[in-house]
Amino acid sequence: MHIMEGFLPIAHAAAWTAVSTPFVIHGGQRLSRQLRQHPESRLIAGAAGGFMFLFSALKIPSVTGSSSHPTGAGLGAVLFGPPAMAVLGTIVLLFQALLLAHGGLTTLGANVFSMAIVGPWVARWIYGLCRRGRITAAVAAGAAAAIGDLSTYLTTATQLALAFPDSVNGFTASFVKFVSIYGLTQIPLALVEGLVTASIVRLLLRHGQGELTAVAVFDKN
Amino acid sequence: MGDRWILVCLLVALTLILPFALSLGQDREWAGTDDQAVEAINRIDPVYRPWIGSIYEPDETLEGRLFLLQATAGASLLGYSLYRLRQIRYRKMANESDRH
Repeated sequence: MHIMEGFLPIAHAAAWTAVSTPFVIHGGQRLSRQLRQHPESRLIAGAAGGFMFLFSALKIPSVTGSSSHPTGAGLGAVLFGPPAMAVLGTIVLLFQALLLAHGGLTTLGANVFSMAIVGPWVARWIYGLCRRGRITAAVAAGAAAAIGDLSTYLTTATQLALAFPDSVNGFTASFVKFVSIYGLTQIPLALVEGLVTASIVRLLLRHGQGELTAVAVFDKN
Repeated sequence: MGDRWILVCLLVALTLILPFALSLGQDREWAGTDDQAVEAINRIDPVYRPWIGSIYEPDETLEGRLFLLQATAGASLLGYSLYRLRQIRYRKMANESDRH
């Protein structure tokens, strides 16, 4: 999920950074406005950010014999909206790049795009679809988180395949290669992320309703 | 409702434990997908070298502890936020029942 420091050629690294920057700026504006207008939403932001910090730090072994990290971005996307997640995700990724040598500063733009932009937007979209299909909020959030997680990894595979196309079979062959690395391993992790997200949303709905309706655009309470 | 909770916990636990159970008796290291991706890159483009390295790279034990720190910080923030939200809700409920 995290492309390691220096593993995107400079042109690609620059391009992804350029793509991600407007999202992060816009997200920052939205987030600060939201926090100012609804001070109680700070707790929801804390929950979303804390969850992301916790989950992206977990290295979980998978049935395929390899291990990976979940993203933890789905919960925040459902509670707070994707724009704010661009900022929260950047903070998490920055922390990991600086202190843990996990991901990188040159690859920050690309990693932000996959984990803090695509993931949350896909999660939000899935959540909307589920809710329109009369699925309960908690289950919808779980599905959104799981599918958002997978979409993050598909994006990373795409980014890597674009940067390192196979010399014989081009982008497609590389893409298949990277998806095979990330994809199967990630499925059980995405499942776990979905289940835990659903549980937390249920907890929040029962104990924090007022704050949720004030903040969460997507909650149908 | 309580039953469903138990089911969720069981599913999560199963998904997490299964890899360990399957690997019992085998002497294997868990390869990280990030490392595997690096290997794949090396195979696709053997000439490519990362053009810049990490500013700071902790050694293996420290790295483990820093990840643990990150997880703990996240869990604390999450737990605290949920706790305070619950407090606020109960206080609101108490206020409402006082008024009646």
